[in-house]
Amino acid sequence: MGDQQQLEELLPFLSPSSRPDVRATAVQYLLGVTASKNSAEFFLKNKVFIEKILSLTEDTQESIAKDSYLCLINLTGDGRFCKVLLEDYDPVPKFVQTVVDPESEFSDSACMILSNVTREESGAERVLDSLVKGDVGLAKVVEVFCQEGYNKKEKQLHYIGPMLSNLTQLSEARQFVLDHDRCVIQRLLPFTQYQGSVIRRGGIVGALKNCCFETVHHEWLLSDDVDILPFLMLPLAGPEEFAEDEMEKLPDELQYLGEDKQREEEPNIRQMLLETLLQLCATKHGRKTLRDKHVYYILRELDNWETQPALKEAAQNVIHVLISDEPEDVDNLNEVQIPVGVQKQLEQPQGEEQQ
Amino acid sequence: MAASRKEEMHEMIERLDRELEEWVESRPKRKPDKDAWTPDNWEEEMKKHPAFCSEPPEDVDNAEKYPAWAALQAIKYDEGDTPEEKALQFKDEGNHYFKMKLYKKATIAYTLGLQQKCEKPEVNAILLTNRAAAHFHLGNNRTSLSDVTKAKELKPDHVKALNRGALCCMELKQFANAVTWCDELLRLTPEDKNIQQLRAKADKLKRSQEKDRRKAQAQEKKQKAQHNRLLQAIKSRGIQLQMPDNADSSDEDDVAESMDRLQLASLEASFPSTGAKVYLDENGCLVWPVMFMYPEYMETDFIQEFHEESRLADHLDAMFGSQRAPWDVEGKYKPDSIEVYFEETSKSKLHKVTLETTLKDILSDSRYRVLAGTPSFILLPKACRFTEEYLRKAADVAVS
Repeated sequence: MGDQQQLEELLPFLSPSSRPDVRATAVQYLLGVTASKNSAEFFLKNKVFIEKILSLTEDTQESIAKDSYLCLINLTGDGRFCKVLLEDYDPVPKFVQTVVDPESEFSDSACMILSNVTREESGAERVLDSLVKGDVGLAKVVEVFCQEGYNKKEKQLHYIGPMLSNLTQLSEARQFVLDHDRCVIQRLLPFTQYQGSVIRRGGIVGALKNCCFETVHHEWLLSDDVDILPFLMLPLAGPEEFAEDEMEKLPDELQYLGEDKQREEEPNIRQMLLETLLQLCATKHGRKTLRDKHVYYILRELDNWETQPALKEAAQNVIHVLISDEPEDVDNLNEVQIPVGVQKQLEQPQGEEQQ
Repeated sequence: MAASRKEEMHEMIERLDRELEEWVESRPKRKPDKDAWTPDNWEEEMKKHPAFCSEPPEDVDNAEKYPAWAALQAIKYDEGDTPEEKALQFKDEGNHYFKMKLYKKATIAYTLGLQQKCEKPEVNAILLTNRAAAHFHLGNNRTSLSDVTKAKELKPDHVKALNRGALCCMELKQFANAVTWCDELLRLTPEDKNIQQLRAKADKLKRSQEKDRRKAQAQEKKQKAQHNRLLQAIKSRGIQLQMPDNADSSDEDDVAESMDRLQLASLEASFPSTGAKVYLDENGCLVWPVMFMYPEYMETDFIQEFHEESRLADHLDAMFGSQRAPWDVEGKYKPDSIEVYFEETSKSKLHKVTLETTLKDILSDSRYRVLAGTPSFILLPKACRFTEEYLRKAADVAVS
């Protein structure tokens, strides 16, 4: 990190009235600083820099605005910085606007910042609050996310995925995604198979996992209205050929996948998918549906293929629940004594892992 | 008094009549109207008159020829109207036909409306959407979809166009597209239950359609692999196949491919009624349909499944061991009194076969050709006048 004095000398060059080329160099220097470890500490002590960076995201010089966004992406990797940024500067409405502006060059950067600041529950609360009160709204954000080619500058908006995953830590966000009167989760489901971006895929699987903590919605999630199961099973299915009699029992989506079918390559996502399936085993109805759709066949092949011990165990946990006899008079397995390994995965919804 | 009043009245009427006649007489004389209907042409004229005709004439726009039409059109479509006004009038006309379920006429009216080149995109979007609705009712789903697609470009939030687009895609079984149209609708009316249900239905059908496609692909692949295994088995035994003469392939673009096709085709048995065809059994052995021919009686036997490891003797025993063929009037055909020959087709030459040989070994003989997927053999009784005669004749025609 550059020393304090050196950085303070930079300040005059960061104002909009400075010469553009000098300003650009100054921001570049600052960007280098934000990339180094513990740089957030400096900015928290010298908040004037935060103000400067925020105002420079509006700079008429595109490269300067871009570098300023990059500074913020780096800095929001730090939880303390996120807190201060949200509390003192209320930048969320501006970033949300940037995300949904189809002409913006900085939509992706804004997405990444929002995804960073929502990682912690308090941040998620602030962003959600801002969305609910503002004129953009979560519905619009989801819509923008689902619409391919929405951004005219070819920004992909994949980071809305992790942002949604983070927001669904909150019950209010889950209620929105699970609104039976709207078509929200149905539109997110296909992205469990989105080959174009592991970020988008992971974000959506995370959001689904969080939503599946709402046991009361399980019956709806498993019904034809949503039909969540195939979307969770498909990424776990591989190229193995099933015997005709087994294949016919699988949901349509899982049949005749062919020898070029790839499993989800990201272990974290496989883990979340398995946790989600386990979560859906919480009710008797859920277990029955998972059995009726023969999730077992897919998990059996996954278990054979999987090399990571933790994931093998996760698969076996679900298999175990599915092949066990039904206990009498227990409807919600969450209310039952469970082994420690399983318990771990039944814990409360979580935000994205630190990236 | 009363009488004089009456007279006065009478007088006045007469005076008025007279004055009218005088006035009429005083008017310049009119030439007979060239357009007037005469006793000779009234029928024809009446057909052309818009009040009586059933179809407008082809060249209805020719005002000089059809003044009545021009007059009527002028009432409805005033030349002074703006393109927008005209377009809206055509829209109303189309809607009128639409209500009467005259969809074809409605499409024409909407088309005329579009031809006015109204500058307001909303008006054209409505005309396109209405025309799409009419086409939809006529079963022209593709045309309908193309109209609403254009309408959507003009007015992206036109709910009726989006609705129609979704329905067209369903009819055309473009389920993935139907989902997209539903999504656009849900952007405008997020809580519309009907659209949500339509979307769920389209999504489900889409996935099942994708499965069917994968299934068909998988089956085709499997079948191909089976064919290849079969051909491989035949080739590895050195068995030579020959196409029936009439199925001559002239396509020489791709020799290797056409060879394979030729060979596959040549395996199609020429006895479609039996459906018998060579196949590989679970032990990797070929099982052939085989034809026995008895020239003496012009009879044939068709053996549907002749395992390649079986010998001719095995089948002869089974067929002639315990019972006599109904046509065998002289009782000459016994397992030990039958000789079996095959014909070397290129030379028309007969070759005798030992009954103890397996089918596999016979077919692998370099002189043997399997014709039309069905090996065939000529069966003759031993030491018999017919046989001697037959073999002599065969030797005569044989190409040495």
